[in-house]
Amino acid sequence: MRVLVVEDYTPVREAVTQGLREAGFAVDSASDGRDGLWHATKNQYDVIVLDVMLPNVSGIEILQRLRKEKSEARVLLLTAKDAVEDRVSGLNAGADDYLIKPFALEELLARVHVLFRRRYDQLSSVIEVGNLAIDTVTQTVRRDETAIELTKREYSLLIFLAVRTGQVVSRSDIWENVYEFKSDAHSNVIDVYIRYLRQKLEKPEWPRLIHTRRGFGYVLESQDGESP
Amino acid sequence: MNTTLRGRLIFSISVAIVVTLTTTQYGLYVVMQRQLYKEFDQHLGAKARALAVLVEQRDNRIEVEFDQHPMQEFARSIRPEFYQVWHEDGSVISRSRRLNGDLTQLNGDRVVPLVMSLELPDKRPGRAAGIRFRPHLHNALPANTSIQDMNGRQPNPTDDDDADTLDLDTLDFASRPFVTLVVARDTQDLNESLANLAWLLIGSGLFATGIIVALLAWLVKKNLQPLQSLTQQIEQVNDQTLNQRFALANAPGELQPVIARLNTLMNCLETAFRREKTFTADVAHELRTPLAGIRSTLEVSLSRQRESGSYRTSMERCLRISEETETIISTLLSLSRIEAGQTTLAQDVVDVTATLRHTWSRFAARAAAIRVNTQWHCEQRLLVETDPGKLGVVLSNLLDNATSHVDPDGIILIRSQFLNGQLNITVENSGCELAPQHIDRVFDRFWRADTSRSATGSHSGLGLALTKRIVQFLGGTIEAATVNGRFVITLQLQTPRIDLQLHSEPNTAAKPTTQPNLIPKIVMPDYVQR
Repeated sequence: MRVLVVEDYTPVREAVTQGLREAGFAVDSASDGRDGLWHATKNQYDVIVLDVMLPNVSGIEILQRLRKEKSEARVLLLTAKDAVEDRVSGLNAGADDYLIKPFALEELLARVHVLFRRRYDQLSSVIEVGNLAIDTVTQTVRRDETAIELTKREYSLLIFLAVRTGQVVSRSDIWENVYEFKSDAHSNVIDVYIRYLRQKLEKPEWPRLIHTRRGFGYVLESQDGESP
Repeated sequence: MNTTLRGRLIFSISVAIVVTLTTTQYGLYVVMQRQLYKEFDQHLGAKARALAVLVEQRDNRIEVEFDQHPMQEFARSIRPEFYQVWHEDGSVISRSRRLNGDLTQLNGDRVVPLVMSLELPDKRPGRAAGIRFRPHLHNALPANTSIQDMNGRQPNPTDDDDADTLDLDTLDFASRPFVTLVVARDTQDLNESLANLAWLLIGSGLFATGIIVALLAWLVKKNLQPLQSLTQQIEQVNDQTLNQRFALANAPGELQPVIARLNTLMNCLETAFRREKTFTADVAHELRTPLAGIRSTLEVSLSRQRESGSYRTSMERCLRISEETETIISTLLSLSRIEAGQTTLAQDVVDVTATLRHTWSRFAARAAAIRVNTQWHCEQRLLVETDPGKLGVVLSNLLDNATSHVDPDGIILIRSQFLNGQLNITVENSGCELAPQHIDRVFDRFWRADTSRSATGSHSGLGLALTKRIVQFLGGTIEAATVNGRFVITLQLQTPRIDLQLHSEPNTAAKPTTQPNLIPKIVMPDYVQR
């Protein structure tokens, strides 16, 4: 759930960053085009919220560079220009969606969620793994109809694993995608959060979901698919 | 009435043609009528003269030879001709047998018979020719004289009772009496010919008019086709098709300047519409962005329970954004007022250098923070007469612009002088990264060097646009240039320099004058006050 916000107008950038962060996304932000392009090409983001008019490098140029480099990041354009040609030029450059300023934060969050699901080909807003169900809209987690309370960070970690069900993810993958770019890397933090998650998600009567692959990392999958 | 050009042309040309045709035809008719009457009259006169030969004086008696054996035309029962012969005293010598009544006695000359129209006794219209002559004496004609009567008969000399020769010496020509002979004939044939001619002329005239009008309508339509085509092109113009231009293949000479002018007009319209559209989009952009800032900040702030300090931060931020927006709106308003000519010019004496220093005091702290070296090259006591408020706004904008774009540790140079009869003010700042091709655009509304709005939001790209409009309003010029990495703005105002002595009282001239307050009290735009 890693998002990059590129916006030169400080009030919007800070509010959007805070809003996304509080919604459980790991958010990096950039205040000009050059910085934004550097972030977008150096890191793997699920969604990039991109302003069109940026200093140094325009949002459209960033978008074209990303598409040229086959980046899988979904891009939500923010623009204050609502003319049809402005919207069309953004979509033609490879944007997945756009929002006209001023926008409702709730709508921005909903669209970022949709783009996030689309990034992992999740058509439904509910991700199911065995008897685990994660509602990405209400951000609630259930197992066998039992509601499970998770912190934002735990939820982000679970989502990261859930959209990669069956895939082994390394600690550094988790670090890069769940935690923000500027925070310090401590791989044992990952282990701690994984332990928290296991404590909340797993009960003796339920099958195990989070499995450790020694030397590789972790994988989330239901018991049926687990290798012996 | 059809008021189209086509209708008018067809109507007016048709009227002209009909009038011309009618006049010509009528003239032709009159000429023909006269010619026919002339021939008719000549013929009638000749007949009268020929008959006169057959009127003789025998002793004291006048004999009308054709009385006993009238020619066929006098004797016939259908449309007979008439003759009548009178003595000089008016008594009738002879008249055709078919004549029931009298003809008018016409005493014409033998050479030029008197001819007139009349109604024949049997009510037919006709003409009569009359001559007054002295009949020749019986046998007075030379023997070899051959006379044909009207019926081509040769008079038989043996008809004469006496074949004796005429004794010319015994003749007293002047004493012989006059007789009058009038021959009358109906004009029915002549009138029928004239009527036929009239009908022929009317018919041919109508036919010609019909053909000409039809031909004219076709020609006018054909020749007005370019106009019609141009009209259709003009009708198709609307605010969506302002990029189209008028073009006519084989346009007539009269239309070519019209088309050229229309196309020039379309260029102006398209440019104006595009500028207006861009301006509206720019205004929308400028107002939407701060609005997005306010909305996002408030929504995030309200999305959960927070500490009171957090709310305070959000509210302060929103307040700052709304102040910035207000600045943009008031600058836009000033711009549109000055462009709409709703601004008045106030004249007062202003000390330019003092005003510059006073205005600079608002930006000095900002410049000092990035260690800017400020250089002053200003004439002291530089007094001019101008609008103090507007000059103040111009100077604030120039200094604000320089302070905002100067590089850290850079230089700002301020120069004011009176040169060649005009006020020159130059403001330079180092650290200019502007490409030369962008220099002319710095005065455009909403134009910024880096296409984005600045992070502070206070530089909306309107300051220099407003400055230029104000300078133009004050009757001056303003130019921007880049010189060795410096951004240089030069302002020139055509305004007379005021000598302070002129404003001093004569009796106080010797004493040190009190410094009058020549720094105008300027109501600065909000962004200058901050």
